[in-house]
Amino acid sequence: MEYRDRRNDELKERLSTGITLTDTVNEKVEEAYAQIRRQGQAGKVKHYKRPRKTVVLLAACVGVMATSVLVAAATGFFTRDTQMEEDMLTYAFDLDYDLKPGTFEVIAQYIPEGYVEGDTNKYWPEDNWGHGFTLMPILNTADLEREGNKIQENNVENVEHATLSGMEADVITFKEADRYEAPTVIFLFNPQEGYVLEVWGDYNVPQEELVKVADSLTVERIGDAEYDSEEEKARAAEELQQEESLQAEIEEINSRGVAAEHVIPVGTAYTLERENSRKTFTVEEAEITDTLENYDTGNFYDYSLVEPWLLEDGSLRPYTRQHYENDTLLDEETVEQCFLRVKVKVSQELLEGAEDWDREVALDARIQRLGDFQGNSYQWPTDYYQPVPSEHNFLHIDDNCVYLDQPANLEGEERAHSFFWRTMDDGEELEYEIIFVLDKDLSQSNLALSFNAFANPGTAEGIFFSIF
Amino acid sequence: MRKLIRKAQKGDGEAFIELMELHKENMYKVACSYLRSEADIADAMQQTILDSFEKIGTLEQPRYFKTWLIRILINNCNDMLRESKKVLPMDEIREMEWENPQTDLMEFLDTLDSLDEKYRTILILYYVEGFKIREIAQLLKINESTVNSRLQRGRSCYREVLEHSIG
Repeated sequence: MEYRDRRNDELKERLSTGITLTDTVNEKVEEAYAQIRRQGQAGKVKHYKRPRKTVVLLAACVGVMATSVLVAAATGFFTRDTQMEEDMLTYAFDLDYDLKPGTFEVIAQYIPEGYVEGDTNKYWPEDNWGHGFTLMPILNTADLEREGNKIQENNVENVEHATLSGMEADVITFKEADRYEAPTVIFLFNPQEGYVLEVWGDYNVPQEELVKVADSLTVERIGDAEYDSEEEKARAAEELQQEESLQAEIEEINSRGVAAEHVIPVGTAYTLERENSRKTFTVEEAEITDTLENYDTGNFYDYSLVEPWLLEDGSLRPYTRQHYENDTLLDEETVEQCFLRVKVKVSQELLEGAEDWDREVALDARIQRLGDFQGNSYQWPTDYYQPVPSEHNFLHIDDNCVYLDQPANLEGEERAHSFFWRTMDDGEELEYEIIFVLDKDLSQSNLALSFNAFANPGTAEGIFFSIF
Repeated sequence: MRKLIRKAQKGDGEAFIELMELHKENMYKVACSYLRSEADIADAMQQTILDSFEKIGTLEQPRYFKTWLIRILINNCNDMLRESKKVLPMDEIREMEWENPQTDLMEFLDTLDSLDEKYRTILILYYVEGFKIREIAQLLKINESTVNSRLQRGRSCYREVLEHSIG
């Protein structure tokens, strides 16, 4: 190998070698994730998440349906084989590589009354922002190849065949749609032009309206597309490998659990050391309470999520939750809820060279259950709980606190992005309270509190305060 | 990844976060090639994550996700540069503002520092992101021949630096 090539390889290696992100960057990234989760939690941006867990118990009751439909166009870009096995619907495509894939533009001629375009090809009711329908980007044959020549949907309850906008179409509904607030999905197939269209409708969109939308589509071929080259396929395979290796890394970190020395008792101070600052957190007191008194509704991150659950005496209504073990539904039960009030003291020490950025302190925290103590670590439990989606109980999701007694950012964007953040000067100390909502029967578990200002579990700063 | 993108387009925040986890290291490297303070890099990354979550529905082709994401990041870095108007030399700033970097990051920053500013982003996009010259030209809004010549020049500068350091 030539000297020049060796140097180029060396440069490539040096630039592409793995690096560890600093805590400052990780904190900001985590803060962004928390905002995204909160937006999803509040249903402010986009609401529905397809049931992410396989509902094994219920699936067994539905029975097994297996059909296979082969639709072979005499000529065209693809033939489609439709398989329905249990609740998994699979469309497998056989592509004609001699025909050049196209790029397409789709327009819906029918928009239900009261819907406005919230984003490109996304339409929402004016009074229910985010809960509408989407004309998904069209899949041409090159896209279908990238999808592995197939499209799959699981948890499918029913597939109704139809002809919409002159195309063969399947209207797909999902199991326990009301309970899980499942969407309706319509696939339209055009083998003659070489594309598949998906119209995705939120649970709140009436199915007949969604069908009308799907029956009003005009599609125009606006250009040519290419199948991926071998080089692009290799790159995609590499990305997939990266994805798998990241997943393996996450699993490995989780399997380590939380080391005993990273779990500290209430009353202990922990100092988060930064180059330009020291922020010391102490959990002074934690108390379970059935009712909440003397609170300011404006101090809830989003009171509209709490209000429906609050009774006149300040206690919370029971709700129905599901209990999963390794993604298998174990049971469902109605449980009581309570509050966990946590008093915290935080102090700020700014060092030489501190900038505005160093003055900011994240005051919020998460509450999590720790599992068995093995070796020198607490394991993460393999079971978990979640509210039945149709309950609209967003108080437990992501284990975040719902209340801060002294928020500094109360208006507009500042509130949405920085409600739990506060600017603190050198020497400033703040005693504050955050409140969580817990399932009453879990309140005596091995609960651990972690501040969002600290780094993730598995890192040196993954510190947890043991609550009980 | 395409499945994650399509899930994210339907509003699945967790799928979107998984996507960001896959890309954050490379985003960080690109941001490092533009910005000189760790806090600015952190802000640019945060803004990029939030912007891209908000706009992911507008992404027509999932295959262009990476290009689209990096475009948003570059725009945010440029905004940040315009706001901060920081003109101190990179070495000086990094010494002042970089907080407890791990050895791997230090080595990466050293390599980056050894490269002239105008070649850094192009080399990162080419070697780290694996973009083609045409894609880099589109991303940076410069013509392909400029990308090509800067890529060549960046490589030779690196060789020169190495030769100089070897003596």
